[in-house]
Amino acid sequence: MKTDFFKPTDMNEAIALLDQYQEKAAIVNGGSDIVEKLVAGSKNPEAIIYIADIEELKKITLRDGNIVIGGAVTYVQMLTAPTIQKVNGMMEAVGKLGSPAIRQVATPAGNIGTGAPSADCTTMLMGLEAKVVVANAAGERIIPIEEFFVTTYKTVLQPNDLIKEIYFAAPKEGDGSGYIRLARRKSQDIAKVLVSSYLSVKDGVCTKAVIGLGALNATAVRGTSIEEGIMGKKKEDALLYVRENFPKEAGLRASRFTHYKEIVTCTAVERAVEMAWNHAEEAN
Amino acid sequence: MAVVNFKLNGKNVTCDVDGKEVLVDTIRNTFGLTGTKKSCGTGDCGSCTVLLNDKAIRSCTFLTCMAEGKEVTTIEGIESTDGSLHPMQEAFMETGAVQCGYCTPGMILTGIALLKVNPSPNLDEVRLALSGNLCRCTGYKKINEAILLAAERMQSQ
Repeated sequence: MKTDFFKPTDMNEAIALLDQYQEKAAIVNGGSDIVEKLVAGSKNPEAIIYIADIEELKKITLRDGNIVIGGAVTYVQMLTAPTIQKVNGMMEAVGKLGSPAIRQVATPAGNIGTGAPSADCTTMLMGLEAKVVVANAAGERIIPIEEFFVTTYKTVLQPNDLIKEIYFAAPKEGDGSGYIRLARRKSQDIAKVLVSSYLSVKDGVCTKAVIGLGALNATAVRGTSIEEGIMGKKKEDALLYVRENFPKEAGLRASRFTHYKEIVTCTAVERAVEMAWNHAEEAN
Repeated sequence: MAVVNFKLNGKNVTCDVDGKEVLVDTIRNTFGLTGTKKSCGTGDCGSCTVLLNDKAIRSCTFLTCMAEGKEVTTIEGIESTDGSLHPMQEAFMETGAVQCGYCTPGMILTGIALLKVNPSPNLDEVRLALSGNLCRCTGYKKINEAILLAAERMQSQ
């Protein structure tokens, strides 16, 4: 099938096109993931809607205490944004995913829209309790990232939906975040274990904990059992807890990496928690 | 289908392509510039690297239509107007950084893109910049050396 290419320059134009073509449309921004599918023929849309020219989607802003990442913001943009640089875990996640050329074009909105279980930025956004603002012809809705994924490569997005922005609370004093990525190679590899962490530490005790787990279950998930386990604990006790308790939510699927994941996941959680803790205490 | 206008190695070009066509195919098949290599086709190996407005990108996972209005530079477009080689090419030759040569255009363009933003990188920065470019001959050491040498020379020019 021949495919038309559209380059809308504002959101309304993009939404109108999506509404017209519905499931026959494919949204492309950096293309680092979807173009491979277009070439292989596993996706054969009637229309490609290229959103990288929509200025209003290309901004990183601070709004009502939230860091807001537009739906067409690239990873390179994030790495150089002062607001993102304060989010230690996000810098770790974005700085290590793909390769420099991928980070040049790829976007967090594409990362969550694709719904891969091993998605780096998605796992960090899970740790930041991010919200996804989705727009279509009927209006906008806000979806917590925990409710965004149905299963592997399947999200709650409808064919006419466009991710407008992703936002999460800017870190406060005493907050810290961390991110651990275990893969076979340092660059250009699909992660085997991902752990993101966000902690609030007051007087040496954990008063808030959010853990994100990626590449383990069918989608990125919250590690709530770990969160509950470390709440109210001091650093050494919290680290001891995560060392000894395999996250229940990991839900390991059968693969040739299962055994490896069984062995290393607790260590990855420990390192992510320690990183966030150290970062929180530095920020204090 | 769509008509696309962009600059290819300094010249304005126009082509009529399907929306799904990738830039590496257009560069090689429509414009006959076969210096850009197509290898993995999945954005993993870096052999198809070209410069888009001076930034290194993967032309195998980049749609031709996305280049509209942009400047694309391939390995054929980096020599001077008098035909002399780019300092990066000279450095690759002198250091012996070329073995089978398949990754070389991507390595050279990645090196040039690095020096645009960081004219005097250290070894770690060079290695990070090249971290998405695979050399199947595993000749990374000399490739790193070549980029450092080119940086030194371009600085002193």
